[in-house]
Amino acid sequence: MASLQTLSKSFSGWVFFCCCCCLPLLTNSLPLKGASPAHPDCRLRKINFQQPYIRNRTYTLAKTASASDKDTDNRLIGQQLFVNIRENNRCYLMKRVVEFIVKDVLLTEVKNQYPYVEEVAQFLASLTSELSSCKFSGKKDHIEKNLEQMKNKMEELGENGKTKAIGELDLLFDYMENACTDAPKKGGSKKKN
Amino acid sequence: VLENQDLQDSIKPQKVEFHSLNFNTTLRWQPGWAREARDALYFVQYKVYGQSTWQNKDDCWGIRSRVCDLTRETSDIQEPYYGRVRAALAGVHSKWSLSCRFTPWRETMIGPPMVTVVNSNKSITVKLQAPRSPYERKKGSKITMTNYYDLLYQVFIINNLLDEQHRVLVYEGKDKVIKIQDLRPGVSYCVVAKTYVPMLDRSSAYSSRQCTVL
Repeated sequence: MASLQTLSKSFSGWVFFCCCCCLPLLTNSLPLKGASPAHPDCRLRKINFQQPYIRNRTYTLAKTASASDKDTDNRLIGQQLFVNIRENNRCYLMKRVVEFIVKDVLLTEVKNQYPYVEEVAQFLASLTSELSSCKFSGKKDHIEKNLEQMKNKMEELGENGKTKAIGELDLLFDYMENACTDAPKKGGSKKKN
Repeated sequence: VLENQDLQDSIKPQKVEFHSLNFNTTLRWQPGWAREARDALYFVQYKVYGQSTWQNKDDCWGIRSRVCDLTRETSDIQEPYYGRVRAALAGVHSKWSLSCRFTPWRETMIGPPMVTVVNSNKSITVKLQAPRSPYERKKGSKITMTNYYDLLYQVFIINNLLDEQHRVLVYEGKDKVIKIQDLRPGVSYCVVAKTYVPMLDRSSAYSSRQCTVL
């Protein structure tokens, strides 16, 4: 119980913090829009991803968990999630993935095995709550199918499934960022050779 | 003489790690603990996390060196990679030693900028050049690290009247040319700089110092 309380407390802290930071940004960027093809509610402000504190905590947590995951063949967060998914539905899909990971991985018994789990869970939960009115458009079949495949894969891996999911929080963070914000500077267009 | 199984274990490479500076990426390892391991040959494979097959790295196949350049193989900088190495000695192969997962964008070290200084009467003009990645544009010029990160430069001045170790931050920002003004003629000054990535909260090492006497 105590941990649930701190969770909701710091969660509201996050929301408060984000709101304060973003108000000036929001007003600034109002005249800009119109170019984005995505559902207007399926957008996260960049500021969510510009806090090195939570980014580094997420990366550290992922690194810790992935060090004990020796299965290099199976991957949960990857391009296969986006098969048959139009670009404007990717943020919605990632929202669903994050909701699943928070509820079925991070807030289970594993949270005592790794550092920073609760902080990262709070952060991710704050993102999904910001996307509460983000809906898919068009057919939902592919989204559900891809989600199902990811969940099944995790199930199949048994105990290592959760370790793997935590080890991929860095990928989750990056995929969420790419799907829900205007692409950040990462030389993303750079392809092999 | 060691039995086969023991030999296998005792030559197995240790501490297989990626090292990366400005996306110049190598896989490095230590020899196994056996004295004989020094004479072993090494074989390197790599892959993107989630792929089922390992790729042989031809340039690092049966090498004596304990370093293997994987810059080209890891050029999709947001992808997570694995590398692994095994050793062979007297016809015996060790098991593979696996690296940690490595994602270039997140983990490469970013080097300091190159600094040049030009002095005039009471000021120093500092020119900063971002470190370059190994990747080339179509025309052949190297892509700088500013293409991949929002970099800031931090410029420090060392007034040699003061303590040698006393660096004062005089500038932080994106400008490539800055002017430090109101300095004292006849005094020698040195300038060093760092790159800083706010998004990752990471700084480079200091650049080499450039000195001048006004």
